[in-house]
Amino acid sequence: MKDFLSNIIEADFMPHGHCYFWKPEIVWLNVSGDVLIAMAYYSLPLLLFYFAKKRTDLTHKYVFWLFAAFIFACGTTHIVDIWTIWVPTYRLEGVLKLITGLLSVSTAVVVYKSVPALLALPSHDQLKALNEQLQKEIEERRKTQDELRRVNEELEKRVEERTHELQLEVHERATAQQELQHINRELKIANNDLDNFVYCASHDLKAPIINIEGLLDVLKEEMPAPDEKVNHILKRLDGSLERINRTIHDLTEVSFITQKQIGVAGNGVSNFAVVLEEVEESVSGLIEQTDARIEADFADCPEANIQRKDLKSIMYNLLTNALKYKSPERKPIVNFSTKVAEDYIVLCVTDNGMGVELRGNEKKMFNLFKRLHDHVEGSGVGLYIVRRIIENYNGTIEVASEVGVGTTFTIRFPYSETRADI
Amino acid sequence: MIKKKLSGVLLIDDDDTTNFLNQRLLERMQVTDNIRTFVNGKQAFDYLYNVSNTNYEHADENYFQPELIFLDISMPVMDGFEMLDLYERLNPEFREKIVLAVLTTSTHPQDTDAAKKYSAEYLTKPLTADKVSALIKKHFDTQEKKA
Repeated sequence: MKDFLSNIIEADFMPHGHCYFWKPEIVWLNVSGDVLIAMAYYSLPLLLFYFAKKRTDLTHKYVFWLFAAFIFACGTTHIVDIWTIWVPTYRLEGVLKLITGLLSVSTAVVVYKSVPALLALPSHDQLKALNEQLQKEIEERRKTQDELRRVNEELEKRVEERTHELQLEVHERATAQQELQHINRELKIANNDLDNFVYCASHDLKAPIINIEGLLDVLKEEMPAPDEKVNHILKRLDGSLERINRTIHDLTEVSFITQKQIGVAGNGVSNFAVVLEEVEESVSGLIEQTDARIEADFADCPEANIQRKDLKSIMYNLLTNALKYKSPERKPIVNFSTKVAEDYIVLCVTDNGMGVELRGNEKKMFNLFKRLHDHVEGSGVGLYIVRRIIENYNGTIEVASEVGVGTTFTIRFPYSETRADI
Repeated sequence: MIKKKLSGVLLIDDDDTTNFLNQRLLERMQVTDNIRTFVNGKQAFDYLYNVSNTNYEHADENYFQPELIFLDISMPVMDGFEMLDLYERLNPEFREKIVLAVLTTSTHPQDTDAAKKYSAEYLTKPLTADKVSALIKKHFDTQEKKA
């Protein structure tokens, strides 16, 4: 072995040219073939080096290195083949061939092992397709983004428009409210004027009516004894006068309610039981005559922030109303009760009278000169007075009634309300 | 019915018919022989001013010392309360002999309160025999007793 290594470059054999008998055509044919193969073998590793260096993304670079080394080694064996034609260093040639063989075998093994990984590498077409798909997706995404931007812009535009609309609406509402307030003021003035008119009219009507009554009396005294026909006419005159007097009396009372609300400053506290007693006393005749029973339950709320005369007027009108419209079939029972509900003091007046078919006339019932019954004396002022008083306290009045069963009036006063401003 | 007739009565009302009816009533009741009517406060005050200063011919039957005055409130030219303001400035001795009654259709508390202020009687229309009798009984019967 030591001899082999020391004699490795020893040319102690017969040159290979002897096998060709030094025939120039054989020698040069082999030499030119080997030269061409070597040139090709030497050029390929350079290309592979270049390729492997440039393609930085290559995952199996060592395969290229091995390939390059293997081809380079192959090229070298052909150079040595040319060399040994003249110089017979067959030991060196054998060593080089062994190295080349080892490189070839390891390259073959490595390539064999790399086949699955290399197969997994996407081909150019695949990559192209993938790329195209990606481009497509990018395009789609761009489109979606554009669409989103467009929608966003539209939304912003809409928000702006709606904001503008809302501002307009707020403005319109404010204007409408102002207008309402204005109308309300005018209504209050008109209402006041109307009250004044009622007062003046009732007052001014009174004088001539009184005079007509006086003149009629004088006429009766002065004229010769009237016959039956004339008597009948005189009776009708008296009846008409009585009616107009009653109307004027009621009108005066109405104007009093409205006159009272101006000028009365403070609020008084009234005791329901005490006021009801006063009212009962003032209509004791009517109570006796109708044999009525008055019930009262003021335990829940014995007092209220209502002027005594106002409460008296309310109770008086509701009580006389109940007795006036009593059922012909039974003795009248009128029940007064109070309670506190939420922010209201509630006064309920229930009777077992004839009742009335309201048919949507609930509101009208409280209007001036509105009468739902025509067979009982009345001017249609009582409930109007009650309503006006209650409204002065910012309260409400409601009625429920059933024919043949009775009627209930429900009055609500704001719990802590002071007198309404006029 | 009435023992002694009054020296005179004034009726002050802008309504002729009211004056006519009231004058007729008083005449029939024979309250007095002297009744004068005026249609506003100004007329009535001028008259009272002259009488209180005896600024008239004694022979003139139109002028007499009134003992009872019925006064309407609402009148043109000078209303009842304006007249009462002036009346208060007249000679107190002259006024002492006079009973003043406000006679009106108004039952307005403002008017009734004002009447009290002037120490005047307050009567609502129409004037009736009962109202006149009650008034005379209240003011002139006591006077008689004193006398």
